[in-house]
Amino acid sequence: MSLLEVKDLKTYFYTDAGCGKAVDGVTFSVDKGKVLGIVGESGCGKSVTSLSIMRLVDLTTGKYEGGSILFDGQDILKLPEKEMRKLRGNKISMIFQEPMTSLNPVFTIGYQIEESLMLHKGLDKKAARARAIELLEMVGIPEAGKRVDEYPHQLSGGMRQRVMIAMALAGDPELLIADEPTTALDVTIQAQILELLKELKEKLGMSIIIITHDLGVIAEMADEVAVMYAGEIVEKATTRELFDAPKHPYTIGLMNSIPDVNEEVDRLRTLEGLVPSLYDMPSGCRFAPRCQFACPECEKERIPLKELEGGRQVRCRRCEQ
Amino acid sequence: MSEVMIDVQNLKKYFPTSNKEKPVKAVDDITFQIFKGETLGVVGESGCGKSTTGRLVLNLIEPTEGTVSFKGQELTHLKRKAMRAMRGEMQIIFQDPYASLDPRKTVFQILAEPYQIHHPEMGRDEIYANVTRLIDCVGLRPEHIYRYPHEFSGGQRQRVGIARAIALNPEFVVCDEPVSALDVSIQAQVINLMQDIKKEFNLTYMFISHDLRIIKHFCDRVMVMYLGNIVEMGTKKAIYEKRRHPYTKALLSAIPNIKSEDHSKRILLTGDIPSPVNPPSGCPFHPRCSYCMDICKKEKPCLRTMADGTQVACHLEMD
Repeated sequence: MSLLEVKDLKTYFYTDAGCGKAVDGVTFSVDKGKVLGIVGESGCGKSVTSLSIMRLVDLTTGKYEGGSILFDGQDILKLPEKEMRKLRGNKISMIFQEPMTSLNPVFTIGYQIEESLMLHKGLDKKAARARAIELLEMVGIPEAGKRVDEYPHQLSGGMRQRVMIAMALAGDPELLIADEPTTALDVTIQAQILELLKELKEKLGMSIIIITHDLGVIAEMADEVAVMYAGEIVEKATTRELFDAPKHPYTIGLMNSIPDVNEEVDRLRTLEGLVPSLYDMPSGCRFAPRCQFACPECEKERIPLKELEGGRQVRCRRCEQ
Repeated sequence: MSEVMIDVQNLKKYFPTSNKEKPVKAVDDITFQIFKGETLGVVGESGCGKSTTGRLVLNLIEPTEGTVSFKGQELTHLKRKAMRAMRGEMQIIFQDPYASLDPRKTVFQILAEPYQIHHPEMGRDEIYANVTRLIDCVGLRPEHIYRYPHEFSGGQRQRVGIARAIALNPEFVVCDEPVSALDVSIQAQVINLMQDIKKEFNLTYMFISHDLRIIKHFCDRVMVMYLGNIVEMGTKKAIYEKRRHPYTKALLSAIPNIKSEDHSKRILLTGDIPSPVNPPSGCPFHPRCSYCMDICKKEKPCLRTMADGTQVACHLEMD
């Protein structure tokens, strides 16, 4: 059963430069206990998608222009802010890329976890502290009883990310959104954090949306993958299917851009050109200007996401035949 | 063996802290050479001293002890003026081109500056010709030269950074995480460009990166650093296939692999990298090493040379 269903989500930003269609008709769902990976490069709309689910898009410039986000059957986009606050950090929580900027430097980590427990779970100070220590132990912080009184700057990057995860777990979330959770970390620490997330998922039975630019992280974590490009999903498949046989030219290009440790090539095959500007999208296929297979047909109209055999989806004319 | 371009002997760099007894040992006694025409990859995690090493090699910061020589000429005690003359031959490409390019100058001004400083005799026409040639070399268009850095995308800005580095026809270039700030598809474009430029200008690179996949693709020899020390150094093949040092093993197994589903061979290191203010006794890696023996806690292992020429700093028996 789907825990989260995002249907035709459109999040636009209105600025002096015009209307930026950051997320333009994105549809996906996440099943209970599963991990969905969203992968793409800067500006593809992956972070705005996650912020939309948390309803954290800055509404001074941004606007939810359409679509729905059903969480447990309830449309998040229609919830009053008061109800949303109950959900946020509770049933849905999020961890961010840079734990140092998302933790408050002037409060102890214990205080910051307790705050959320008292707010969402109604625990008193003592119970909250006990639970905070328990959570810190759960995310593998050694000497949690002592560390609970430390400040963020006293911890290493990996430890800080563990604290962020502990904080996100405080509300017993059913859905955890992890936005580039390991991008700022070293490889050996990245491996530890990914291992921790996998363990916690098994133990707590939560669903995870992991957002990253790193296909390697996706391969390790995700059951299903959505590849985003210029505000759209261009390909969606199970992780195995995607890596065994990528279909969309963008996905293929992305994979070719990463040197493989097990293979030797003289030259990397690259995707030429740049991502189109949010304010000036091609009217047809948004990838056409960089696509080696593009033909005049591609530039005529927007390409729909087509379902292929086995349920995988691709947004490309070539894959229709 | 080909000609030695950079010779580093017993190089140390300690940064003072408020506690005089305990400086940060960013680089702690390393010795290595870089040969003409090769690309030496320097890999390691944050705080291992790889960037400090890059800056020391270019004499951008002064070493606490030890020497760096460039083509037989010792740089360490060179006078300011003499050093400046050498700068044209040794250059650097920085990680973040946005921070390293002056936002108030146009690309033309940025690229003309090296000529104005090192070749004051050059006229404007000649400088203009050189700048347009550079711009073409790095795959930018002539109209780009009157733009400011903020008008470019990250990848294009890094192209400007590369053009600046090669302006004076250097022989040696330190590349400090040159593609880490870029998107993957742009990374590949810049890596290919750097390869082309290496060929065209006969460059020698010292390539600093934390990305083991890019190091493998780009470098001839690899030097693995941990906490200010070299733990293993050898040809790319020897490092990636033999993986002798336990840290190299763990580091390489931590690369997320997109091709295979088998992650069972992963070696998960426990704990964090220790602080370089308070490095562990003996082998710096011993608190995280699963092969740790008694001797490792007491005695720091020296680099030993293996039969295939690879150097490894480890007390374990190995061929």
